[in-house]
Amino acid sequence: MLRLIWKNAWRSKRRTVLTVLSVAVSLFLLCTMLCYLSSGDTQLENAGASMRVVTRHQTSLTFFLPEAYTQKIANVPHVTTVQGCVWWGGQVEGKEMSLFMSTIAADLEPTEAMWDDYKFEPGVIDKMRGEVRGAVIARRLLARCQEQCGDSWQIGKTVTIKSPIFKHTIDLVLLGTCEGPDESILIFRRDYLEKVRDNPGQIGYFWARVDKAENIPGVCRDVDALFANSENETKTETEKAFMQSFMSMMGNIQDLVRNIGLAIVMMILMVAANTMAMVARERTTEHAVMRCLGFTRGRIAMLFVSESVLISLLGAVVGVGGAILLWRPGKFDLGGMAPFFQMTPGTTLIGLLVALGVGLVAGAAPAIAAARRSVVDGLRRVD
Amino acid sequence: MGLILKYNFRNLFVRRVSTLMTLAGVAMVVAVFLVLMALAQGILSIGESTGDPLQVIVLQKGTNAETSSGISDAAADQAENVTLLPRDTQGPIVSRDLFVVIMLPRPDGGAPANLVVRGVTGRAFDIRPEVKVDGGKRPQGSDIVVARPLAKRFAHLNVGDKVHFGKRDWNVIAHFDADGQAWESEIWADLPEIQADAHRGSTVSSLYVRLSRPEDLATLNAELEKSSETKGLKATTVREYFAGQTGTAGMLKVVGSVITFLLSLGAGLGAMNTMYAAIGNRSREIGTLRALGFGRRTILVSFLFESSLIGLAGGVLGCLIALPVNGLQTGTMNWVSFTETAFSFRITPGMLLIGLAIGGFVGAVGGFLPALAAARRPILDSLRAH
Repeated sequence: MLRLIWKNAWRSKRRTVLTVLSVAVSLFLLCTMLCYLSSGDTQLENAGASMRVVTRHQTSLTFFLPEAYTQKIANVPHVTTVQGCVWWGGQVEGKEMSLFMSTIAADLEPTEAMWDDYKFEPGVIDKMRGEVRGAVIARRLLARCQEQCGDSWQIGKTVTIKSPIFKHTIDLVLLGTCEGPDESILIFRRDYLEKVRDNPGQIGYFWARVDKAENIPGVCRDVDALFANSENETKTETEKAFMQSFMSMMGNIQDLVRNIGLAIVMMILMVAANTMAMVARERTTEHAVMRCLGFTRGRIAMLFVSESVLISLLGAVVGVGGAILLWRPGKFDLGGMAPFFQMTPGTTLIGLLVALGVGLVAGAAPAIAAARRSVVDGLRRVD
Repeated sequence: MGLILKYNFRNLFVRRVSTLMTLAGVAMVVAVFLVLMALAQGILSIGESTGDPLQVIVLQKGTNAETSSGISDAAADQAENVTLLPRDTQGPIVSRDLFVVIMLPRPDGGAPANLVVRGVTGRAFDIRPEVKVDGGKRPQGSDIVVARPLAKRFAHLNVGDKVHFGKRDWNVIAHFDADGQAWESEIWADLPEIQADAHRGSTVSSLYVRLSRPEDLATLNAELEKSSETKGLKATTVREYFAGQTGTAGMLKVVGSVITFLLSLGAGLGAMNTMYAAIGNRSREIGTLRALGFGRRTILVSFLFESSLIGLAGGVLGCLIALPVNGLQTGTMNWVSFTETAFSFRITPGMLLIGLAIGGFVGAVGGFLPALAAARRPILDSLRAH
């Protein structure tokens, strides 16, 4: 039986190859777009497991908070570590649009305790203690900078970085690398930024580490209550909520990607259904003969649908397989914007399910028509 | 030639199902292409449409955004003294704006997002005649006016609503339109109120002026250089300023092109299938045509015509599918100010033409090898086929 399906599928080699390739290309594209979506999901999931909360100015992130809040937040029960940060943005002259980096000025001492999900190169934090302009750069960001700006980006060298927010430019000495969820960060010392800005004592946002997960909601409440009705009220939220509001600002890109994905599925369906309709037309007489030989209607329909599923699954093997090979973890991250751009088991499964669904649907209509046609009609038809 | 093209045209209807499915496949490609390009065009058009060539923005030197620019009262006064600036009975026509970023929740309770509040004086409306507030109302005290597209994207921004940001509640007294310019993503409030609320003293972020001649820009910058108060300021055209903030559009265009290319490949392979089947079934007819004296080239052209026609029809259908997104409101992140920019999808006639061309091209490429095969086949072989 399987042999028959296999042989049938290859009766018109050219047609099958073309269909398989067409399905493969489209499925590859679909998987690629799903990778983008799952990258966002993974980011949120990681953030959901984090023990960190963010405190920012109640009006928006662009308003600064006083340095003195650091100690006050640290005194809140269940808070183990506090780190004041300022978002610098980070742009390299001439590459403003093409090179994305999250440059952050951060209090140095709490760094390792706060970011335990990052691996810092041994000794790099020590080196930063000795160099006020010192910075640690994500390994992947360093590679990207080298690609775009050449060899001036090396560990040990000094680089000049602009900001879309501040009018100053800063010179940073790259002292070492780190690896972690965000592969586009460049962290430097906040006291250096203070010096550059003539000590305004301002902080963009605070990271605070909470001792236990169940204490997170309480800490958020307590921190905000501490500064309620003050000059600078705060808003404290979980890392996940913080990230969600950034994603929300990206607009409806996720919805758009989903709709395009749907259009791709429709296209695959059209191509596959077209092929199966052609096959059905050619085999009308043959199906009638098979019925005469004792094949039941159901059997013929089943044969036909199986062939359709086989063809689209072959497309999936090539397309989804290609995506798995190409989008291996860490291969590609859309210039730092989609850090978890990779094929997950979930994405693979969706790709295969789409192929299966397309195969079933594309085969179903011609199969039913073929099974319904009376034997006499089928035999009578002359091409 | 006319006759044989008619033959090809009619054949499309003989194989209705197959033609339709191929056509629909191509339509999907064209529709996806158009939607992505319409998105990019929507973002680009903010930059292209904002400000006429005479509108100029003055910012602190070294900053490339209003977010980070600060201009003191004294510097602003001094800048207004530059003689070439237009004046009326109340003095120089200069708009002092304070640019503040706030965060508001979404109407559906989704994650909140940043948006711009612009503290303005009556001058803001003199400089930007394109801003039309319902009922001609002006922001004053705690009364604010809100760009119409924002009402759907954020909670509590309908007329009559009270919205809380900064240190107090504000009353939304009217919506305004701005011809699709950048202001359509902003809330406008009374300048002194916003300065007080955001602790900015009497500083502003930017000055907007309208010059009488484009050449005056260089003169204005030279004049600003002269005084120690205004030496730290720099004027650029508003158009240039906003065009620099549409970087997302470029990325979208690249992504859109890659997606379109891959999808075209998929649809083209499908079209190839259809055309191979078409010539296979009509083998004897082709043979007959050849026997009647139609040359190889004619056969090649005629089958290319047939497949291009399918592609073109797919292109038309794709355009029809994509057209409803034209004008659809959406928003995206402005990567310079980290605020949400409201804009609408924009489909231009040029894009529709490119869409049609893509459709026709996919059809032609898919049909080329089959058409070649049809033309090359010896007459006898063709006639002999089953």
